[in-house]
Amino acid sequence: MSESTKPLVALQGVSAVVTLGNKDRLTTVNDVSLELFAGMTYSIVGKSGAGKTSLISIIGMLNTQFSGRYLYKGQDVGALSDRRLSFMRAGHIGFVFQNYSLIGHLSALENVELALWYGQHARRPRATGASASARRRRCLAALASVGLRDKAGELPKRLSGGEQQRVAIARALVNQPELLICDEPTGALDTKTSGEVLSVLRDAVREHATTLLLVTHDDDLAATCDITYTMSGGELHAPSID
Amino acid sequence: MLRQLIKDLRLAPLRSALTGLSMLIGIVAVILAVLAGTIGKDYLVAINEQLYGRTPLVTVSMNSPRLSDADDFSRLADAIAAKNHETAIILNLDTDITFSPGTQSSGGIKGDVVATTPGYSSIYNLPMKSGRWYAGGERSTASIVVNLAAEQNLPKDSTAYAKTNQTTIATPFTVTGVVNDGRTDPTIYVNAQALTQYMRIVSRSATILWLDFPQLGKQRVRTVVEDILFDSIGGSVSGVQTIDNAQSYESVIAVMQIAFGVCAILLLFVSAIGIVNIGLASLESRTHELLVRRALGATRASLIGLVIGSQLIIGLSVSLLAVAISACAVGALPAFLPSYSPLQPPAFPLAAAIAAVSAALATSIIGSLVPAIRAARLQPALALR
Repeated sequence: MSESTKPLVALQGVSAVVTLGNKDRLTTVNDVSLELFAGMTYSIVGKSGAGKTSLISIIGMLNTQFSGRYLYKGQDVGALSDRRLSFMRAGHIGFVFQNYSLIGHLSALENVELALWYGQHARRPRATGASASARRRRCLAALASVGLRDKAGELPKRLSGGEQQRVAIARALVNQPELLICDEPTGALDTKTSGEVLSVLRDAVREHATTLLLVTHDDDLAATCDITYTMSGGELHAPSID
Repeated sequence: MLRQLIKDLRLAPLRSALTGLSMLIGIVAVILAVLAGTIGKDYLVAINEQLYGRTPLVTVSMNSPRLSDADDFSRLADAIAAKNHETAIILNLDTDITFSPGTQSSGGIKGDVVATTPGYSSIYNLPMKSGRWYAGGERSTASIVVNLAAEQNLPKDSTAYAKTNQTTIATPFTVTGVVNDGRTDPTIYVNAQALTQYMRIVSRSATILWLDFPQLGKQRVRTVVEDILFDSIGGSVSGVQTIDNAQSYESVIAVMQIAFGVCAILLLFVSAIGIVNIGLASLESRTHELLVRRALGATRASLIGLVIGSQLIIGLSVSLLAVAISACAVGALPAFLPSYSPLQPPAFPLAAAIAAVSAALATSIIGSLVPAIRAARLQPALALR
């Protein structure tokens, strides 16, 4: 297989089980095999409790409590230390959360800057990183790309839901990640704002040729991606290809 | 990293302020408690030295028929001073002397007259309100020093006229200074060498005050004095006593310092509990934020550094502030003491400050350690929930 056709993400028979409060064990991800290729857009749809979030937490390297194999660019994720996983997340993966998850006491610019700082630290752990002014320029450019250059100094509580999600997108993309994972990115937004956010997201993904993995309840939103998987009972079902 | 830590303090400004205040109170309280203990101790020592002299003190009672002679007395005083600078001779006067502001004997001041050598001021803690104590080189200067109770009648630079019941002509003495000797009765300190020179007095006995440091012991001091008497004016030693009443107040000082020390430790302990409590409460409220940081790529170590570091910044800033406040308080103390107080202005309790600041920083670390470890154990997958 040539370099270009190697998958960015390859899951082979991955399962995850959680122990509930009453000691019962629940299989949240059941024998999932999946390949994600660079530059493609993917969506996973399914009802609540289907295992979508559990699966993306594994793909996003937030959870390594799974069986089976997970290769990221050929590298066995299950064998990585917690520190290395942190660096992988910071340097290679961007997250957009349903509830924005901006840090409340940091301004929009500082939120983006924080992700950039972690990303630069991950690439060169022993270096002090780029200068503060260079970081600031880059973050301002990221905010400008989502149309929020003029809101850079605002705290999240002074931004609307749509603006907060655009800041979250700028934060997710500032390190130019290979993989962008979005968990219900429009779940908390009205229809008009959802459209604006999706437009921003699509433009950003296209511009940086980022692989997009989108988790949503919304079939219409899922249909905008190249490949859509459905999930139920922890199992991933065959994709429908547009 | 430092910028991130400072930004982190903005998370909950009130909480940061309360943590800082708690720490500030703890450090300042420790420094002030130690300072209060030190001042109390110094005050007891100062008053004791003012009234009873410095210790260890050896008093030698001696007799000699030639003490009233000016030359003989000076020879004795010089010989004693040559052996030990910190000595004084007090003449036991058989002649009544009265001092008055005018030449009329009816205006005499009722009080004590202490005829002593200049070294007396090195034996007792005698802060001058004004002027100066008569010096050793003033043997031929008729000078006296009065205490606060006598000042009203004999102010500094005034002339006091001395008379005995055997003389009709008053001898003028200049008041060179006013001293705070802690006595309530008027007391006049007269230069014994000048007294023997200018007045006909009778004195057959004297007390030698010998600050015994380095320690010779009273028998050795007795021998030294006997040798001096034999070589100079003749006479004999009738008694030797050691005065070391430091023991009588050392136990009081010890109890006082323990009490202040316990107060200081309790204050610091309460402050530390407050800091730990605030640290744990802050973790509860910022769990989601820390999870988001983990998702963005923060390592466990960096989260521990963040939680401990922000507390340390508060600890360091507050420590500097507390030391500055305490230093100002110590620096301002002399303004509340009269210039002639027997108590010397206390020095800044550096050791207590170092201990309090170290304890505060240790508390910052220990207080934030549990929240930091708990933060590091958070499962990053929870960021998506």
